[in-house]
Amino acid sequence: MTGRDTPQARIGRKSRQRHDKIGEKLREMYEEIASEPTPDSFLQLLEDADAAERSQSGENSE
Amino acid sequence: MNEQPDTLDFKSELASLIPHLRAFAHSLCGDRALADDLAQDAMLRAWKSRDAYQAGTNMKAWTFTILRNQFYSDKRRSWRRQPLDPEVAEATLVASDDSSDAIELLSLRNSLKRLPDDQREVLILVGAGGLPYDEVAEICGCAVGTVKSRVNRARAALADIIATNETSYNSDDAIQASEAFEDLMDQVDELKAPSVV
Repeated sequence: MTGRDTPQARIGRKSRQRHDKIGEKLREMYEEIASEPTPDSFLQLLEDADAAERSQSGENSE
Repeated sequence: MNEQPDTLDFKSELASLIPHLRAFAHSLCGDRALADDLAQDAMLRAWKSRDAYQAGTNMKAWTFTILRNQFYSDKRRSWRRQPLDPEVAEATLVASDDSSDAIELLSLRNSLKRLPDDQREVLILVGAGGLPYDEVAEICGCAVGTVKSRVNRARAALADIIATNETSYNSDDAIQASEAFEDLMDQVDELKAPSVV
């Protein structure tokens, strides 16, 4: 109990808190974006790329 | 090129990874518009290189490798040259209802930018993305032991940067930001303390 109040214990505790806090915030930063619905613009780009390739290969084979 | 079942599978799996590509890009760049550009480029690059992907292997790690390499080769790092602006921090503080949380994320993003590239990327992949060490080693092209030591150094450096930021907020306006951060950390401490026996 008394050890809690030594400066070293306080610094150690503070440092652990910061590390926990940083881990928590890092995950929050990532999840904030990862949990957003996929923007239509991305899906559209992928479809366009696929369609462009297929029409190109179709032309080439004829 | 025929529309093989493999191609359809590849496309739907790639589409399902878009949220992760965006989150990874955003964590790396710290700039929303730039990050979406990077994520879109990586997605299209993955699509075009799909012949090089070995079915059954980890597609997430594969696309992350593409994104990461592109980030460095494009040198999309103009954000690094933007100085840390206390007025931006203050504007966010005023604008947001949940100001302490917004400040914390802003502080984290700004601090991440100041880490060396090799430390930042492993901390994002391990700490934020929750990827296992061996996958991160594969993505970054280094040994598992190297990833572990970089993560440890990055955590320590980030804690130092954040601690220094807090004490260096000296302007009257910005002081609220560090106080908000400390208050929240104290609250977290109080919540956690009783459960630790």
